[in-house]
Amino acid sequence: MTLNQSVTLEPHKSGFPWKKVIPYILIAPTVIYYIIFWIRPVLTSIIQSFTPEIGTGFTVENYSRIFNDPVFWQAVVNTGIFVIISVTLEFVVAFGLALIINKKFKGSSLLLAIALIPMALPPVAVGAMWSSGFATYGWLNSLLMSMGLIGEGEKILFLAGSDFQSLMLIIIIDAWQVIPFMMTILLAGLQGIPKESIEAGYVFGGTRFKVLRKITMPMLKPSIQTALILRIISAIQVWLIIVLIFGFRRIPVLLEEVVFFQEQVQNEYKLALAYSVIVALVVSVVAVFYLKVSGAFKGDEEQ
Amino acid sequence: MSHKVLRAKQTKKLIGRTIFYMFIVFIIMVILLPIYFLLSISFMSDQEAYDWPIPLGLSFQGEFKIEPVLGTSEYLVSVYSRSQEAYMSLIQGSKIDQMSEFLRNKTNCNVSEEKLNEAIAEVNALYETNSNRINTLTEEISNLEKKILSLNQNIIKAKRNLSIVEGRESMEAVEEKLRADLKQYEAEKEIITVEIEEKKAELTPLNSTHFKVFKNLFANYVTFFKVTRDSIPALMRSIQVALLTVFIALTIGGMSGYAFARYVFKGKNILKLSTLFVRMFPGIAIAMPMVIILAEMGFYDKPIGLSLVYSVGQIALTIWITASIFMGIPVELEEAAQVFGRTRVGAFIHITLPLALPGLAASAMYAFIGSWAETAQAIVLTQFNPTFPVVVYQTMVGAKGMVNLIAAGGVTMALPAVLFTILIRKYILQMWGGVKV
Repeated sequence: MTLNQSVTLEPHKSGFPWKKVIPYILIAPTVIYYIIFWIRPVLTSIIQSFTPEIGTGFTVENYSRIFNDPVFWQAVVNTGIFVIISVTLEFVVAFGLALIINKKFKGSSLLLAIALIPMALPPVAVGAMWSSGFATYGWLNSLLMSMGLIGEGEKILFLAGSDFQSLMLIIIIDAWQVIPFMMTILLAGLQGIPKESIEAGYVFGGTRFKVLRKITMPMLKPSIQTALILRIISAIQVWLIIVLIFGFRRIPVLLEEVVFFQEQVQNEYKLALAYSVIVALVVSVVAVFYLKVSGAFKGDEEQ
Repeated sequence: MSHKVLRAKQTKKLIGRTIFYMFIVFIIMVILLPIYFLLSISFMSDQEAYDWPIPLGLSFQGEFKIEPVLGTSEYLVSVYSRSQEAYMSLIQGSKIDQMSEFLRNKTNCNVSEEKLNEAIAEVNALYETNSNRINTLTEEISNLEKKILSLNQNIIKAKRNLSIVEGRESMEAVEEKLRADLKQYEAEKEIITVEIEEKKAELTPLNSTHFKVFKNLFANYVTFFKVTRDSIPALMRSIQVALLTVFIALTIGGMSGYAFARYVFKGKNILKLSTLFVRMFPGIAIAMPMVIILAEMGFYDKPIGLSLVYSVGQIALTIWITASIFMGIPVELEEAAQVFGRTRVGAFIHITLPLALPGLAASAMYAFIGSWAETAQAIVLTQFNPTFPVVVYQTMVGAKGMVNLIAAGGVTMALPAVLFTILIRKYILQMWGGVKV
């Protein structure tokens, strides 16, 4: 052990502190890359969002226009509903599925392989799948009819529901694709838990639920945190699937508005930038809040 | 007694197991059914895709019926619809080349002009031998149809009168008579309808002929590439972008991943979280100013420009994944190699790298999938040289595509991604195993 340590500490015996420098050399490309291709465009976005569409100078007009737009507030509400319901639903289902697959029954590896497919599908493929499914004359109604669940003339008008129903539809579609992703992270965490600790819980008289709550969940905390934070970040940024199913401005959400002003409207570039800065701010605040509450920062300091 | 308890226990276990597997099958169905339908719609012709209800199974050939239109030199072609369980009229005309082209587009079946000519010759021969019977039958049918028409008028009249009289006192006699009339008309109508049907059933084999043609299953795929603006170059561009992204993400991200796995250094936590922070600023928000930055570099609307932007997210992911892979390889192996005289770099190249290779390949495929599927940034960052997802997106949102064409585009999009995911499925769990926020 001491031999090993001395070897790694002084690989070249030159007195130069390689051990301290090497990691910085290794991470240097990443840092430089982020400065050029991330920090620079981010700063540009923020600065330009405070300038008028034509000309230069400082203005908050872009922001005041957004805050006075009723569609913006609708988008905030829709995004909020989407994040809360979809993250909760997806986490619960994904956790349940991960517990089931982790049981290692006959065919569990097949189930895992199949469950990975939705995760692999590109958003446009998912959009094509469900827009043809939820159409009034689509495959879902055809399937329900051939199963005898609905009769002729009882076709369900999936896409013509109220705003809230439409949002639920999007949540279902999103869940179909995202649950496998969350499940994968949770399953990876579950497989890292030593069997002995679970068995010990049962030996000491724990019920199934108690073992899950007192042993499995705490040991799975890092994976749960990863799954939830990644999910929350991407849930706030939902837009593509909504546009693919409903088109622009049917159910406004925050990022969809950014694309709307960028792509569909002429000369609203700065407004779109201001919008995206707001989205980034919302994501950051929520994510940092989550990390603080869940104790991820504290965990890092302990390491 | 104990035997009985054991039996009861076994039955209970069996029931539990059955319910469990039923649940598993249900989950698999929920996952696979939408995929199945996407695939099956991508193989459907326009006629099938817009039929109601949409056929649940795939068909490999079309059944056609051709009949002369009496009194003209035109022919009527119908196709068998599995949903309606009847022949649906498709086109009426006399120009063989036009008809053949229309039928091919509509049904994806290769109905050649020769085939049509053949069928027409057959139908003509049939007509000549049976012309007398056909003429009398058609005449009878048209007479019967006229009768139905007048009966219908009577029925409507009787119903209207009935609605006026109904419920009024002192009109009961009239009402009764009207009801009796109505009943009689309806009974007559029923008899005549049956008669017409019988006559038509006799007529059909006399003046029409059927033929079957194999379907071209991949017709939608061919059409998709033909009708959408330069989709083959777009496909090539997508592959190019994905490969470039993999290269950038794996070299730059892999180095950081190794540093994460092997060293303790100041600022590690900040950098670790920054891989999370780069995901917080929406991709499109990065893409918008990047348009100008890339234009300055001369990379705008070029594959390299796209992959430079994609790499921001992919590097972050690659750091996480490669760190987890390198952590899985004991550092003692490297140290042992150094004891035996290898340099640090040599130890890495000869010991760690070969061991990490499968995991790194999996990480590369992961980055490939991510870049291949990326749509949002590509919409902003391309103008004349779109990537493949942008082409599919435009076909969908632009509402210029038919549902089966869009499905074909979607399947083309999904195929490599699904293939790669299944290839690396063993590593996906390993990749996420060491990930920790």
